[in-house]
Amino acid sequence: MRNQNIGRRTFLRGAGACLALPVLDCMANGKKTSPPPARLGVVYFPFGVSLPKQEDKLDWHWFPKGEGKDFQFNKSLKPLEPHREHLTVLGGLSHPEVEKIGGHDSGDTFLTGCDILTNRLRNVQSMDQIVAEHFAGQTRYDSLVMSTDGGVGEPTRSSTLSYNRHGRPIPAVNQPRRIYERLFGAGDPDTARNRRRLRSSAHLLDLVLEDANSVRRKLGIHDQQKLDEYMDSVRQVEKNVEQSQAWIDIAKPTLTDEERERLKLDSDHKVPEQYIRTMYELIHLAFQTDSTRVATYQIASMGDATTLGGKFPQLLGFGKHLHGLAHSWNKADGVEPLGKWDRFLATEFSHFLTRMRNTAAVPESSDSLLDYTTFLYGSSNSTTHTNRNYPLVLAGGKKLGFKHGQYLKFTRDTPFSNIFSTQLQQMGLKNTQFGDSTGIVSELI
Amino acid sequence: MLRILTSLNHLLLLLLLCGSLPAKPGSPAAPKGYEEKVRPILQTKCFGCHGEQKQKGKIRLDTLSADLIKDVRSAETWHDVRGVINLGEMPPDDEEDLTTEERKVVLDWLNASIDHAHNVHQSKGGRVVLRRLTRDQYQNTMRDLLGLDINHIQDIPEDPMSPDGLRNNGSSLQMTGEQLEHYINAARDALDKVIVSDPQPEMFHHTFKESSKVRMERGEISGNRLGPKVRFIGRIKDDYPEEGPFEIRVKVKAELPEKKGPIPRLRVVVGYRPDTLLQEKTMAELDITKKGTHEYVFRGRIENFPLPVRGQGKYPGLLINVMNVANEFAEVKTEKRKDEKGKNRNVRIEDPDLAYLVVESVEFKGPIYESWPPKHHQDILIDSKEKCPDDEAKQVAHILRNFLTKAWRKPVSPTEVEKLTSFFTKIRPDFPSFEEALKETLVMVLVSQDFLYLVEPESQEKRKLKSHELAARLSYFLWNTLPDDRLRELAHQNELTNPDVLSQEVERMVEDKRSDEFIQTFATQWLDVDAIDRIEIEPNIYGKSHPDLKENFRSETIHFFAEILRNNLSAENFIESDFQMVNRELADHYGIESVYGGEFRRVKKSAKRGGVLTHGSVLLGHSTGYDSSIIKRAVFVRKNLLNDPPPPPPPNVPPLDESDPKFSKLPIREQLLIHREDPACADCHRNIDPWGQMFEAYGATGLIREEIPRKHGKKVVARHPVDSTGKLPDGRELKNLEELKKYLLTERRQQFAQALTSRLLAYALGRSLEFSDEPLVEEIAKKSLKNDLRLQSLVQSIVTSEAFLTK
Repeated sequence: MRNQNIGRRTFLRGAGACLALPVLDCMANGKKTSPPPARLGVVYFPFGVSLPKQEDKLDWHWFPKGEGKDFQFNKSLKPLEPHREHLTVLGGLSHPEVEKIGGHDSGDTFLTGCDILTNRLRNVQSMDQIVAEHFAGQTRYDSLVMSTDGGVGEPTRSSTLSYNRHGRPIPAVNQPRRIYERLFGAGDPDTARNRRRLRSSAHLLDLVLEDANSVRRKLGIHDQQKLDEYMDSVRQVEKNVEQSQAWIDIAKPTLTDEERERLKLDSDHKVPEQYIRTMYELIHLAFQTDSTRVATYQIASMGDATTLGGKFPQLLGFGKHLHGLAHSWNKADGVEPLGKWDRFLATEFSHFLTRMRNTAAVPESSDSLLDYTTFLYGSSNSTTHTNRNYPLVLAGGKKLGFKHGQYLKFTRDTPFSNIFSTQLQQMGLKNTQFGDSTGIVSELI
Repeated sequence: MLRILTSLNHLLLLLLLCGSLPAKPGSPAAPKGYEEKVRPILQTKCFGCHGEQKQKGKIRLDTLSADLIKDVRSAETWHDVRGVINLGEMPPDDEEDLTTEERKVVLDWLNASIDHAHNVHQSKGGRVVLRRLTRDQYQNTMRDLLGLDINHIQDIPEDPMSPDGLRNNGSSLQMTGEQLEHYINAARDALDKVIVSDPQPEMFHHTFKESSKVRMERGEISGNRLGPKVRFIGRIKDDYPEEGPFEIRVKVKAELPEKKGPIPRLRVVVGYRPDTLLQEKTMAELDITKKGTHEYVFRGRIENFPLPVRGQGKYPGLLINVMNVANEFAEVKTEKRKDEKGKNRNVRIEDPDLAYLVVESVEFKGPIYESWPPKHHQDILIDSKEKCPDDEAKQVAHILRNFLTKAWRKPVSPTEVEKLTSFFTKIRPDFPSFEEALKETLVMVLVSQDFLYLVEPESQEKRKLKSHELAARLSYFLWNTLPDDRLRELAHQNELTNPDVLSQEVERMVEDKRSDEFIQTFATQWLDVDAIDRIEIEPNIYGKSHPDLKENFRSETIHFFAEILRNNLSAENFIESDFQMVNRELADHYGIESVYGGEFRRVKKSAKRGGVLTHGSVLLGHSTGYDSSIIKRAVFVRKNLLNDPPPPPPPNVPPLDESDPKFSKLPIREQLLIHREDPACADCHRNIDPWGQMFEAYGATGLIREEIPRKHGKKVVARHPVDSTGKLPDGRELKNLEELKKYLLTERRQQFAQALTSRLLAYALGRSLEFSDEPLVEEIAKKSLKNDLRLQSLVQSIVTSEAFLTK
């Protein structure tokens, strides 16, 4: 990797972006004294992993051999070997509340830990969005929410990982080109018009809200609840408009030809390898340019009958449809194909980690972007339908105080939310209580 | 593990937070049998630790109320009880376990009680909930309201699917800040195009008689004589528009055979890179059945096509491609011939099985505006300038009075107009021109709840719909767009509520091309046609399939629905029909001869076909891509055709020990049998599997097969003869799909009629049906059964039903 060269160019461009930011720590507090900002990324895949019991198949077991510092990756996670000092494999964790619901109903809850069935299909704010709120306004976008299927799916078969403060799913974007346009596109070239429109937006939204309020009184109770959703959305846009006004004079970051070449913006669910890699590249570029501090990506949803990601293993030549593949985890001839899928996902993840390590956290920094990013990777099923013992990897964030290079096995006393609490704490949030968390995982810091 | 049932969108849940509501009239009674059957089991197996003596985990069951409706706290506990029994956590290992039978009795009661409580609490009182426009409805409404046929929804996320598989359910359709921002941007982008302030742009006009020479790949050549893999290309280097309507005129001579035989199919493609499909887009396709030379005219908007980047060297210029795709993927026939230098070369020769087109000329004109400012501009500004010269506020008010009635699909009040006019006045000083400020005012109109939602206010009590509300319900039901002038006029005259007028309108609307929107949307969602997008056909078993196969499957089902609806045929045809809808490619796939041309048409059904159960969309969509799927197909019949979806699998059921290498050699039905030996799976699967076994004669790609290959890795390790027999839960033994179809049309006729009625009614209303709707469903279905289940008549009954006419 020609680290130096890429690094140099990245620095220069990064510097431009940094200068332009309205309130960035590094500007406000004088140079070099304040640390680069923290980032949070989450990537999720459904249906669980290969956990064979057969003696002769154990090398396809997703979880490593050994424990603590002394562990060896099996084939599935082998691609992560170069990054072992930057990650921790987490075993034995799950959301206790979620165990009550169907294994395949758990996709919605990966970042919320909420028993949505008891909760009238209402979810709660997801962990990433708490972080997004914490950093709100410091970057052009508070968060980048992506999935292969796009949109929100349906309750229990969600196609997004992220839920807003009202517990409503945030629609995920799935077309690389649209994401690219959002992050790096020129937008409205007429900034005067743009500024005018932002000003009028404020009036416009005022009036919309006023109008909605007067209609609301005339509606029945169920209609009112629906209209409240609309009014909450108007208020959110009002906030965004305010935020956008601060960003309007700042040009969006530009990319190098090399960076653009790497993006296969026309790829879609028919070319899984290209597509997933491009989605990772977009996360990397969004972090690198400090366009956002929070990104989530759901590789496929738990909707066996609905997810476009279901056919990925077939397209990659691993045989079956994803759900069918996952169901074969304990079949003699099912272990390896599922293991290969696990390995494919790990390869793409590893590729991303490499990219993050080869990028400076901020211009001239000797620390990498990964050192300031805490990245969660995994699923809410261990084997299919079983929502315990989630397969999880926590990567990055050395400079946020994370300790890595280990395989931690947890008992059932530790809820998964404790990992979230630990991440929230290390990212500098004051309130680190999340859902049913009982504390911080000291082994990680 | 074999259970592939999790696709069921079953939401067994409790509404514990909303407190208890009184049971609605029309709700069935809560499940009985607690005292007689369930309690005695709990007495022996549970009360020991969770009764009078001990309350382990602070759980006491003996005093727990069995009325989950009245006692919400008990409902919460019962919900947990079900969880631990399902998980196998209770009774604990050191206590005596429930027997299979006991487990079934307890879980059946718990499932039914929790389901019942859920339904009671989930009830919206049988009322339609405020509906946001769906993605498609938004697109169509913007297009029709503004007269601008561009993509308005590129950033709008997909709509969620409701538990009944429909995407227009008011309760499911959500709004978020992100989405609202997209609506604001879409409105601004559209209005920037609709309302103009620049002078009329120059029109470009090009005529091509010879194909331009362009770098081509994929074994294609360019020329005037169109056979397979030949394109006629007109390249416009710089002089092309980037915005606005354009027209392409193609003059071609068709060389048709004397007798019935192959006919050419003209395709016009616009883009800039012939070597990658991504950078070009089909504008139109047409079977050419007229002999001799004729001119064909195609119209579109240029921004809907991929445009080249100006100034780039590699692929400069806009390309107009004309092709003959009658046999798009046919082998190109070649012959070895000696060229002038005496070298042997492969030369293309004509294929006698194909019909040829000869291009005489291709003309491009654009942007074409018949007037300036263009019609869509004029339709919004109307006569405002003449009516109220020199008074911008009055002009805006005049414009709004006209525009709002259409956009908000209701009569507007002077107050509403006034409010928006004062908004205009407020922002006007900040905008450089009247038009710019007007656009911003119209953006406001297009993000208001009255535009984005179907608002039916003053509805604390159930009431009759007002005529404009009825017009909107009707047009969004049958056209997926806003009411046209005629509907608006009828509503204005208050005539739409007249049953005769209403009925005539339904007839008119179904006949109208716009009902394609309904047909496509409803057929796709009811029959889950999109399932084919989630399945990859396994080439190791089925070979390389035709690139358009999935699209043709999709079209087959949609054309089939259209044929039944427009001709008011019986809905029985969905189960069994004496006809099929095919085009040439699909006919090839199914092995039907003498069908020529790309258009779908009605043909006599071939052997073992008829009805949607033999459609490729259903058979492939409910397969695994490498084999049939007995379970998916069974669920399709029960869920989509009979409205009797099997329950979802319980959480955390332990998988079978399937490490036996012989297992994968077994036919699926035998694997399922083994599966059924496990008591945790047996109950449900006994009622599921047989429904899918009758489909075994149809492989994943919908073709009829004699034997079923079983694979181990990539190798076929066994072949089993097809066994299509099955014993339904009611004891009926059926031999094959033919018999299943007969059975459905006789024994299950009423159930099918009610299922279709339910789905159609839920779609028409945009809400899930409730217990209280059951009498209505039964009544409509009964009426329809008396009338041969004619589909259009069924639609009529729904539109004139109480539920459709009231809020």
